[in-house]
Amino acid sequence: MSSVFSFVRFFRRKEWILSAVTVGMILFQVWLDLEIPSYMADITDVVTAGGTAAEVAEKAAAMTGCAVASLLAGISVSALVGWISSSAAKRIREEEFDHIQKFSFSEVDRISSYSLITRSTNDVKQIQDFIGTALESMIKAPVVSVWAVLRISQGDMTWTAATMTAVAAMMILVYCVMKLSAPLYKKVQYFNDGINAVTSEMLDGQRMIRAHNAQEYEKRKFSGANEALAENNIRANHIASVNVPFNGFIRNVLSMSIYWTGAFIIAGNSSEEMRLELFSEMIVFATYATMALNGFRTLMQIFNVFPRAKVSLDRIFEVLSIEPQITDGTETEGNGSGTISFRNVSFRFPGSGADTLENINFDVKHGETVAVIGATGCGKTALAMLIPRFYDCTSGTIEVDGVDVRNYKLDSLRGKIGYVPQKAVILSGTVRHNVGYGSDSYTDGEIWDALDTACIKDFIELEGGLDISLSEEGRNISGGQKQRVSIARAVCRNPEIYVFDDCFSALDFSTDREVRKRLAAKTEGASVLLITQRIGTARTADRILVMDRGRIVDQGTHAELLGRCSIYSEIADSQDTGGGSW
Amino acid sequence: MVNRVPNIDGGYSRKGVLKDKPRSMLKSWKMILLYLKNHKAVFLFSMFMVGVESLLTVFAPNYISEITDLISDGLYSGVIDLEKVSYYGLIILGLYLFGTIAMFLRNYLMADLSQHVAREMRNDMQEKMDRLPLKFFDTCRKGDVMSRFTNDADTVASALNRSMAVFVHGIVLLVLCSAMMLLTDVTLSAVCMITVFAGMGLSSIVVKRTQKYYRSQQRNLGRMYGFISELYSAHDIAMAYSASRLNKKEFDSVNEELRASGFRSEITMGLLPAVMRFFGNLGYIAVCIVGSVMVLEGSITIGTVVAFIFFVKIYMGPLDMISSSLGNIQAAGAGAERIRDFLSAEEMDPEKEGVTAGSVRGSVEFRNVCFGYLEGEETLKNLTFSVKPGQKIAIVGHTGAGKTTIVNLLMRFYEIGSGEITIDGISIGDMSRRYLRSLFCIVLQDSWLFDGTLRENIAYCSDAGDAEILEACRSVGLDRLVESLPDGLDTRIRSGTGFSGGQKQQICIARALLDKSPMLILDEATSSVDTRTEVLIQNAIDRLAAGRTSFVIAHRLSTVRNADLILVIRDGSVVQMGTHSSLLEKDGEYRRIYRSQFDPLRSFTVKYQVLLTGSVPA
Repeated sequence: MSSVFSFVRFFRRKEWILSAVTVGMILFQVWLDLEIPSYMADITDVVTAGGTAAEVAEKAAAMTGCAVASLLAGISVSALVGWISSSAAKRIREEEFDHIQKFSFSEVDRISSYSLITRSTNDVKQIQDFIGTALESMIKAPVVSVWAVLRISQGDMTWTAATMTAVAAMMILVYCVMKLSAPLYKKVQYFNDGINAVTSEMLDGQRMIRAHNAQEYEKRKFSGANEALAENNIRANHIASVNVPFNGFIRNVLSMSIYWTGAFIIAGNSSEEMRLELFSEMIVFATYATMALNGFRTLMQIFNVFPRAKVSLDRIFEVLSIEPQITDGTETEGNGSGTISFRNVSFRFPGSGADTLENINFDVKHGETVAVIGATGCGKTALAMLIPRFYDCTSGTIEVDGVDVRNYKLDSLRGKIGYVPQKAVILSGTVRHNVGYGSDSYTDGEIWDALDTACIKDFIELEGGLDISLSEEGRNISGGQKQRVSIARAVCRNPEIYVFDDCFSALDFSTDREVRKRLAAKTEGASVLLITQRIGTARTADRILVMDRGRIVDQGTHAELLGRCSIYSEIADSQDTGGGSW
Repeated sequence: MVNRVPNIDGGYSRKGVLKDKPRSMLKSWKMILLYLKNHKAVFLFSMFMVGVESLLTVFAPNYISEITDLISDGLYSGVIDLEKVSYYGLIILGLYLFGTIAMFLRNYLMADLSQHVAREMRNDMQEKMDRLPLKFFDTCRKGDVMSRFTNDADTVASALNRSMAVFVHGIVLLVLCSAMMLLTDVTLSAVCMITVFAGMGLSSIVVKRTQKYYRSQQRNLGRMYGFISELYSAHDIAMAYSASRLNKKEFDSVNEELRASGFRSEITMGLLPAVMRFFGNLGYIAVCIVGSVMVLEGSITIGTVVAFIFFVKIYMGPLDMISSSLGNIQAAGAGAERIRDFLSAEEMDPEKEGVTAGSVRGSVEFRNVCFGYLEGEETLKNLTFSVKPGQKIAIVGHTGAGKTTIVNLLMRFYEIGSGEITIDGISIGDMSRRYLRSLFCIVLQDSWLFDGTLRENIAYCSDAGDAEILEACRSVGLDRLVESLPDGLDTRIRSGTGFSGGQKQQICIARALLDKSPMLILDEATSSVDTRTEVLIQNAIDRLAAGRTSFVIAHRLSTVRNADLILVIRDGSVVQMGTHSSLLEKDGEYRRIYRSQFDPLRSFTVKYQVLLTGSVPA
């Protein structure tokens, strides 16, 4: 937990300098604002004294000067404040973004990606609004209040006491409102995350929702989240709605009671001179007391935006305070041989009760192709994810090119690997952007080459070339096309190690075969770890690892395994058509 | 097949401000008013409270001056009518109390109203989703739509809450003050009002010219949302491809535009009050000058001028209120505009009553069906085939041949271009979409799970009990997993965690098993499931498909072999049709596809052939 003012952490020199300028401008503005009424009084004096228009004009000129200066000061203050708040917001977003870029899955999962999105946009907006509305008042209000209080510090004890009481009442009121509303505001952003999650699911699942005629079901779910958000906001705002009226009430009652008690004080004084003096003192006191309380009130109004901004800031700091578990080492090269070796590797997903992988041992030697086969959920994908360090193994060591993966700089390690995930990821943008992802130095020739290897060159050519745009999640191409673009992405970087996580599943067999044939030619000399469900694919590998429930139960060639591994033979049987084709 | 559809919003220009045809936000504010109309009584009551509050604000100072008058009357005599002072004091206290209560009430009610409006807007957007064609979802920028649900609705709500009442309060006060001035002296009122209205005129120009900044602000926020949400959902690839440097570059440009538009809207928000205060001061000066001239001419008394000076001071209050709330109101307009754009996106043809088929036997016919995702494009060409009730139809072909498109049309996710699709002789175009979809249970290529328990995900909207759910789990081979989970069916499924790709597919199939619809569609339902589990699932599906017409898209020919009819699709047309054995006899596409899977010698690459020589059992 931190103070709401810790947003200044995101200030750089420029913002600090501008803040100083802003303070100066605001002080100037306050001075002008206090000056203008005295010109008004002067003009009124001249008018009441029966002065000429020329005399009035003379005074008016000076006041106009002040008014113009005040206008200019006002505009520059809003420009400065706008600059500071929008730059601070930009920096917050940037720091968050940079930090999240360093996250691996366990950190992302800790906060959830829906919440990360709100925390990078909506929460930052809350801070920006807070700086925008609060900065000016925060400087102006105390200055005005102090100035006004100084003017009346010599006043009658009764009035001073009344003023003190009023200030105390305001503070108690604001404190109570804050105490009551803060826990509710804390939940607002949580409910916003909820809306985010439901909306995102609905956008993804329209086909299934329609196929199930589940519109009513989804509507209920959505309105549940919606209702929760609205109800919470209403309750928070209800509490906050006490603030302004009752602070105003306190201020008004104070100024009224000064006159009211003034009447008694003056009436109780026998000296005419004293009475006159007291009267003017009363008028002055009332004016300045109101001004002081106005200052306080403005300050208090900040407390309306305060709780929400505070919560948002805490949420942002929570993201920034998560230390990425997977950090850079120093090694950049390795021995360049393209080997992978797992030594007694066990792995457990964060927060899970059981090991997903247990005591895994295997090697992929230079230029070798090793296939991994096994039942759904047996840990194949987890195994693949350990190599580019999406997670770190819980025990044991994984070496790439003879060096522990934890000793590499992440970019160097991942630069060695062409990783193709099970679920093809397509980003909105051109084919060029998708295939050349992560680098802008690929030539068109290289990209075309990769597309050709992935057997999708013809399609892209037909559709209009590298600059055709694919929509988010590749919703405008077929499943098999997505997988091939995703494969081309790995091929394009020409890595020494390929990790294919069952990424041929949506390809028909002849395309699958063709892609793998071209890959084999292209990846000559590279090492390949190939996760697959298809025996036909696995058997082309140099070695096959058979996995079951997080363990490697056997490894060998197709023929060896057929002979001795019952799980493998069962898998093979399940794919044998009975036609006796092998 | 790549359908390129422009986004709902237009393009962006430099410095975060979009180039846009000038467009009035009036319609958006009108929309907000329409939403407020749903709560007419509450809205009118809170506006009435604003009126009460305004009246009291105007009158209370009069009584204060009564007190000062009483005091100053008694200054020399030393005799002050204290009873009267107390009397006025009580009146003032009463006025303030009522004023405060009125203000509290309107604040309280505006808190309700603003949230109700936002909630209804979100609900309407959610319902709108049901009326949008699938094409919208296949082309939209997800995060941008999400931003409309959160950021834009939020902006509307908080602006209404903070500024609506203040704005109206300011207007009412302005009118009251103007009336009081007019009653006092017309010439001076005119002088005062001309200055003030000049200020307001200038402000309205400012408002008009700055709308685009607020609009850009909301839009850039949506863009940022879209960018980030896509990136975070593709985190594996961003990590694997060390894309942070390039992502940062793109992020920086969006971030800078967001900053620039935020800066501009922030300035304009502060600009208006400064301008209005200036004109208020000018009005004051003008009244003083003209007033003193008139006093010299003898047309008015000094008293009148002094009274006016007070009015002008009072005038400044509402001007400040109006001008400082304008910024928020503009922001609300910009937010509402994006919501309105979403709500007015082109919808599907309205659902009609439609023909129902009584008890469906399940004969399906495609007659000369043509379809393209884009104008002038043909993804399916003249597709014709017919299916008898209870038959199992397998659709095979290369990726991108148009297999999924057939499902899209059969389910009316997309509407056919020409030709006809009938079920039991009734054109599906004549059925309601709802009815048509109720005829199928379906498993799609992309498994869709949502944040909820495993039980909710499997049962989805059926009323299946735990026994049935567990039975479905057993049928798809999930029983062991469910048993091993500490929370069993109550295990919460969150985005991206825990389940493997194959398990997700198993869950989706279990979901379909609970669906009792008369026909079945399986689009690559088991592509990530291991083949032993697949055999199990296949048996379950076969039991499910018994007597039901079923469509199966699969690359694994083992799933396809026992189909009653196999359609071989290539480039959007049926190139071969028949049973497994009849197709295998012919030298055609099917045999080629079949061989690629089951004739391993052909699938060897040069590299592997060498390695595997001798290792294949005879």
